Amino acid sequence: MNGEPTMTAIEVPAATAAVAASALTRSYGDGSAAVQALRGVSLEVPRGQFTAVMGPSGSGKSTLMHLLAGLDTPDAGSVRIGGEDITRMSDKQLTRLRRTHIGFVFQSFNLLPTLSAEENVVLPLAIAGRRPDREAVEALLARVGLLDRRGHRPAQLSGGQQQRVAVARALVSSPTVLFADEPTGNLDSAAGTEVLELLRDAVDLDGQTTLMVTHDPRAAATADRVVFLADGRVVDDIADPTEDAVLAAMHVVTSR
Amino acid sequence: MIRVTLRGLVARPLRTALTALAIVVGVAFVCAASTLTDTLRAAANSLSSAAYDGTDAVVTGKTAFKLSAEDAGQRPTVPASLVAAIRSTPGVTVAAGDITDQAMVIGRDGKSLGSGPYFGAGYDARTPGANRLTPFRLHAGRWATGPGEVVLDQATADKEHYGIGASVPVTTRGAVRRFRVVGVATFADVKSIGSGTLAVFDLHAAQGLFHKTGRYDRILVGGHGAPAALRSALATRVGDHAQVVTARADDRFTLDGLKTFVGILRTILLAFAGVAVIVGGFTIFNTLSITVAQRTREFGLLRMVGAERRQLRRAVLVEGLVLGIGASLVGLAGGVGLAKGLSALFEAMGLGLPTIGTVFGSGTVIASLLVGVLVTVAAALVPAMRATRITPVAAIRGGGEGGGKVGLVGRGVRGLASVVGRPAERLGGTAGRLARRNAMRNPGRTAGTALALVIGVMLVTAVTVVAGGLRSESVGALEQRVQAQSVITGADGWSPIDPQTARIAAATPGVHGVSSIRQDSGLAFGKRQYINAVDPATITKLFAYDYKSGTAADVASLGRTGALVDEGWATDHGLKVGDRFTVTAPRGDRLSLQVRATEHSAVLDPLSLGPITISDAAFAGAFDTQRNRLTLVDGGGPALDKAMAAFPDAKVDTKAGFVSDQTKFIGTILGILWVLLALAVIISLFGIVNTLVLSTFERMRELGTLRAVGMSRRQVRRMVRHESVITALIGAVIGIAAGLGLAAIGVAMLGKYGIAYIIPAGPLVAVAVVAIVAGVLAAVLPARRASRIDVLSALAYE
Repeated sequence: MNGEPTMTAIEVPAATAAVAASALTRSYGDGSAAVQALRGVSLEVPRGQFTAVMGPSGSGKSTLMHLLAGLDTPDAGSVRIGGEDITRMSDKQLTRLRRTHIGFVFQSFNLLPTLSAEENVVLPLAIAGRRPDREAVEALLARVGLLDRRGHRPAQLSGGQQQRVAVARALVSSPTVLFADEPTGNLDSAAGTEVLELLRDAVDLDGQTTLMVTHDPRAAATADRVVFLADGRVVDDIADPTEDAVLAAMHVVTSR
Repeated sequence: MIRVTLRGLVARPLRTALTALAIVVGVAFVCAASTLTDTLRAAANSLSSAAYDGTDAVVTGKTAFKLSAEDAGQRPTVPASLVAAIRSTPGVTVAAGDITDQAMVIGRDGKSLGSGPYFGAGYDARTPGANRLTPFRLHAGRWATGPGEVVLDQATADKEHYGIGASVPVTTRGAVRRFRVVGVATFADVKSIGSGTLAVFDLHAAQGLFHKTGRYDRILVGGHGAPAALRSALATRVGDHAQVVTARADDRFTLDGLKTFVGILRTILLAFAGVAVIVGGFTIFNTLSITVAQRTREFGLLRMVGAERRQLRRAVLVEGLVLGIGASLVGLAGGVGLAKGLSALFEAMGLGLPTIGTVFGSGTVIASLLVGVLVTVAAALVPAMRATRITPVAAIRGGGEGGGKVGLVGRGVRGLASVVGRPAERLGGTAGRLARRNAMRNPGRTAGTALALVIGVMLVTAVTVVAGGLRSESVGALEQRVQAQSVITGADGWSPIDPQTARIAAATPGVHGVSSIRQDSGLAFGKRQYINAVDPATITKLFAYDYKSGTAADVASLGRTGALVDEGWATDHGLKVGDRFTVTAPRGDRLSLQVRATEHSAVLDPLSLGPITISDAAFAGAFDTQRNRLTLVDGGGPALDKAMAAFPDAKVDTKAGFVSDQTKFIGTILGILWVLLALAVIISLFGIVNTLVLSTFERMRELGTLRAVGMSRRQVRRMVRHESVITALIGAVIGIAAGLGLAAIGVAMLGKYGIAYIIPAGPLVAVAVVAIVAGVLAAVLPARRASRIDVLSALAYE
């Protein structure tokens, strides 16, 4: 997706991180039932980096991603995407943010069942009132290997195919950052590998900043960096991970 | 199990309320219709009792058949001298002559007051004890005892500030005379007699005013002992030209007419209530079907932990039962309020009726509750059966929207959704496209939702087309038949007018000729019919009959034995030109008539001329009516208007004005039908609201996804709104098509009367526009809910 011609996103200076979080805290419930999900997390995702967030259940990794993506609001701390503070944004501003700066890939695909594969892919552009570039869309469909299935409805596609549509949908607007929430969680290993390769390619070829939450060490190993969370805090941060390094770090984290 | 069900109802208050609302409105209408007509009936009954209970016998002129409120013409009178003979009959306590005729009180603006009945009475205040024979109760002042005095009813006196001592113009026969108000009275203890007015004169003065010198309309008798014995004693006394009846049978205030009207009103209102309940039932059926589908997982789980099919069925039925009882109770309360609203509506439309306190009968309560509960439970039957078909494995597989076979109806509705959804896609962009797809994804549900709207739209379309055909036929027939430039009728369009008006009109400069039509009732082939009397020499110049056999020349030479009859009526009785038949007049005179010509009347004849027309000469000897139904005038203009200004009970219209005035009632009836059917449309709106809200629950994850990929709240609202409009348009399109079909059947059935099948483009476009507006309105709440979802929890929604 080099030089997406319809791309109108604000150019972000290279020096600024694509996503920057500082001292995020977030708790749910109140009184004795209160759960402290995040206890002061700071994290910077530089532009063009593929970051994976790992941690046992209850570590706060999903909460972190929701805060970073503007789906939830922190109790304290700030989140900046492309230099803009999103924690005080109105619903309208958040909607505009999602249109230009954020792409999503969900564990359960979340395609619109009434739309074809191609219509699902161009949906973010259509919603934003942008005319999709035919060639760019074709190239994207070819890249996710669904050129011949573009007219199919999600129900006519396999899980792996659906998730590839979802990846294409997240890439179509060349967002500042792509968030992937357990993208391989509902897939068999072959389909999962294909999806991870697509994400990796987007980073390598287009410099697509990506943040992925996962509990799969193999998935995490495809990232440039793995951040480990436990009990609402960052407990480890390793660069250029291998599967073994991830497994070792996980062992440390879980046995703490 | 039942606790699970009931907890479900409580846990989803909005859904429960919306579902119940559909039946609430239906039950409210049943209750309102019943309460309103009970109240009116009670008013009529109390008027009857007050008017007639004190009178043991009534002596009237003998009639060959019973005359009722619907009969035209004038009843035979009795000689005043008969009173003496009656007073000397054993058992008689009091006897007094009575005149009950028509008198219009003229308001301060020079126009006649009220819209009828215009009671003009002669009351014998000099006879001691006569007050037990009359329903009039003196409220202030005294009774009229001499010429030039009048007693008015309280409502009229209050409204026009005609207090005691005021000089009031009143018209009895023809010209206006001024009377001095000497008293104010009420009819029994009723404050207002609806749109009616009352003018009570001295009995002897009334004889002169109503051209009944030396005669009475009836003699009212009060006695002691058994009334039946009194009546038989009187019967032998009064001779052959009079008869003795009860006051109720005589019914001089035509209260039977009021009761008949109330009965018809009740039937009509209950029919519409029925439509409302059926539409409500559809809505409930649809909602329960959706909620059962949505709870597939929950039901599967219940089956897995050991619930029997029977228990699931019972759970859904109990849900329906509880909904039905709750909704019916609320509807009952709403109905009492609605009854008052309807009453105000009728009053606003000029159909004011006598008022007493609201009657809220136990019959109303039982009928409303029964209808509400039975319809709701019946609507729950199919969804309950569906619930039993859910297997335990559904708990794992889940259920919800989509899936299932799409039947023929579903495929049709899907196609329709695709077509009527195109403008949405054009206008609404992505939101519009998603709306169109959503309307198509579960055609069964869309069909069920739209179907509720279909019923109302279908009926609106059908009555509009049939009424349009009737109006066009009536207007056409009048335009063709009336050849006069001007027409004189009663001020209200139908009350008879004094023949003096015709004589004065004929003598007015600019008038070249007049011809009048008089009406009375006669018996022909055992049935009462309107008999029209015309002047054969002049009528054919001003009134063009649509001759089927014979010509205008035959009418011009009707003579004393000729008759012009309606073609359809002649066929029904096997009559052809040259055949003879007999008409019996109210007083018993038998006219032997010969068919000279036949004509075709409009099926809905605004003039209600009836089937038999004879000459004035033949009419005069046998019938008593002197006043005219209408006078046709060759000519007109300011001179005629000026001449007629002296007769406030009459009005002059141009031909065009007369035609539109006489056919106006079709529009009024159509208007009332529209208002009543609008109710059915409103109920079906609740159905659309319901389906949209339920679909929002189901599509929570989709909504979350759409919001996550950048859909704004406004776009979400637009998407829901478009889906609503598409659903409403489907209902409108099917409803209009079905209505046109229904109207075609109706017109075909009335085909022999030659009604045209006219598709009224304007009203149909209006229906479509109303459907769109309705769709937009129905979407307001669901759209707001859908746009306000929390993205995060929507994405996690199962």
